[in-house]
Amino acid sequence: MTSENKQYRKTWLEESVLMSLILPPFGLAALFYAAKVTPLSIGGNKEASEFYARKAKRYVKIGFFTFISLITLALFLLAITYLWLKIVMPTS
Amino acid sequence: MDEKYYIAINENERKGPYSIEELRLLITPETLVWHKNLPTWQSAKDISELKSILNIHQDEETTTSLDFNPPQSWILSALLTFFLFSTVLGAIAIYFAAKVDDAYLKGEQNLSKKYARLARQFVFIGIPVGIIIRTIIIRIYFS
Repeated sequence: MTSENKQYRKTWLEESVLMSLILPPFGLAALFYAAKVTPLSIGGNKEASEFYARKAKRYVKIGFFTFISLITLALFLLAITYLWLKIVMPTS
Repeated sequence: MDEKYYIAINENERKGPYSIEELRLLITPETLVWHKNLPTWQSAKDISELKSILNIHQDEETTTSLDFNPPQSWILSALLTFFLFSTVLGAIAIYFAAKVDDAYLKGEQNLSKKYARLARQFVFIGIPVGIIIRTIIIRIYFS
């Protein structure tokens, strides 16, 4: 009931900023929505605030899994290249 | 069910007594509530008799959140177009995509749809243009 007890919705702003450094398109899209959450919440538009928080979360998650997929693909290609150089084209 | 409930408005102010029906419009799950059979003040969500009216609130919230449904803004597609295909057309798409939600929040739904349509068009133009330009550049570079 007091202002100390008042709970604010998670904005996903920090995660969005971090994602912007890793995968800019996904991070910036998340940041775009995350930046709207607090002002709308303060303005009393709870449903819009929740809607944009959900969208920010979705883009952070999509970005994270895309990043993991890209890293996995890169490691796989690296391993294939290494094996190809070692087995198919041995130097000596 | 004939219990009379009191609610805490802030640290020093208490209001009541209210019936369950009256509480329906006054409380959230976090509101502190007391009646004579309770040893201490408790959150409304922890009092079994009040769960039914809190569920109604939650249903109403779910229904209203479905009402807030702005058009797809194409912001991610616009950003991908900007970073991967065409900087200029991608930037224009981002410009329109950024306006979609603002227009919707201002209640201008038609304008919002118009911006969404423009953002989509610039994305759809930007991707093939970017591919064509990159192909030409690569061909010139390797020829």
